[in-house]
Amino acid sequence: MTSDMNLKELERKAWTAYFDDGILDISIGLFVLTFGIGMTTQYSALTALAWMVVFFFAAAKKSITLPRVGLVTFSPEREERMKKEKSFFVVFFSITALLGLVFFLVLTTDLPQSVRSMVGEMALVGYELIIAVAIFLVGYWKQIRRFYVYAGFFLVVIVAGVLFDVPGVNPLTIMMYQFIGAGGLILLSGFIVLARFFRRYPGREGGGYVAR
Amino acid sequence: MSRDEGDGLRHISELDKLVHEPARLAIMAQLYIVRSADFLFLLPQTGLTTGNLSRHISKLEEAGYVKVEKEFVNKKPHTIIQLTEEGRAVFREYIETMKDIMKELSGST
Repeated sequence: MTSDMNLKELERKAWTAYFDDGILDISIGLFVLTFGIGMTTQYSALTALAWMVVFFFAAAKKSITLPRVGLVTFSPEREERMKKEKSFFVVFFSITALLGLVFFLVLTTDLPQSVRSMVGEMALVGYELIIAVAIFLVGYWKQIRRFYVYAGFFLVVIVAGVLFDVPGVNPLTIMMYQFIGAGGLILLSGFIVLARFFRRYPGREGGGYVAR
Repeated sequence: MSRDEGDGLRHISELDKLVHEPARLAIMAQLYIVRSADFLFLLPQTGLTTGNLSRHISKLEEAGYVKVEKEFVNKKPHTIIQLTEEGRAVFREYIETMKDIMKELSGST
């Protein structure tokens, strides 16, 4: 039993070696941060651009992680889990995008300012919750424990934002800064993990890896 | 000498010495948990140097425990290593034997 447990732990370590590079953290941090900046400034297009981190993630993985960590084909059980994860996130983000579209359409209608503000606030709390759940699930699927901390932190920020009002400050503005603060912290943590990754996996000359 | 102690010693002599060597054990354990891995992946995971890893993989390949595929992509070498069916069976057997030994040794103290 113990040896089975240790082999499972060994497999988990091999698996997490791919995500101990901080790139996923940086991508999520960038996404949340860009989303927040897009909302607080007149550059609302940034909220849509936030999705571009997907390309950053793919490029960084190919140019930073794979040449250092190497290439592995995991067990069929793990690959099955990866397939389920991908399907889940496709559905998850489709629902998120649909919700965003619905809220956007509601906000562009001719409703009173108070109603629009309330809908906007609800939309942001909804998005914060969706992001927190997504981060938690990333931690679960990727088996990286620090993502649970990020998700927990995000939840605390949401609850604090709902419970405490700052007099004279629009609740929407507070929420927007929550995005920026949380995104900035995840981004910073990602850079620290990346620096540690570079120390652990220095680039190898002619390391024998070729991206396929 | 008791009967149990005799069995324990018999189990120890049954250990596959090729697998029992720490570096090769690390390589086989890493390959056991995945379907295949490239040379670069095994380097940090096993903590071996390039020369050592190469030497031990060659020994395992000679024994038929691992299969090595070498290819060139864009003029760069890419080596993929995987356990053979025999290698998997041998590793499983090694674990079972080690479990028996540990059980017997801990029971005798």
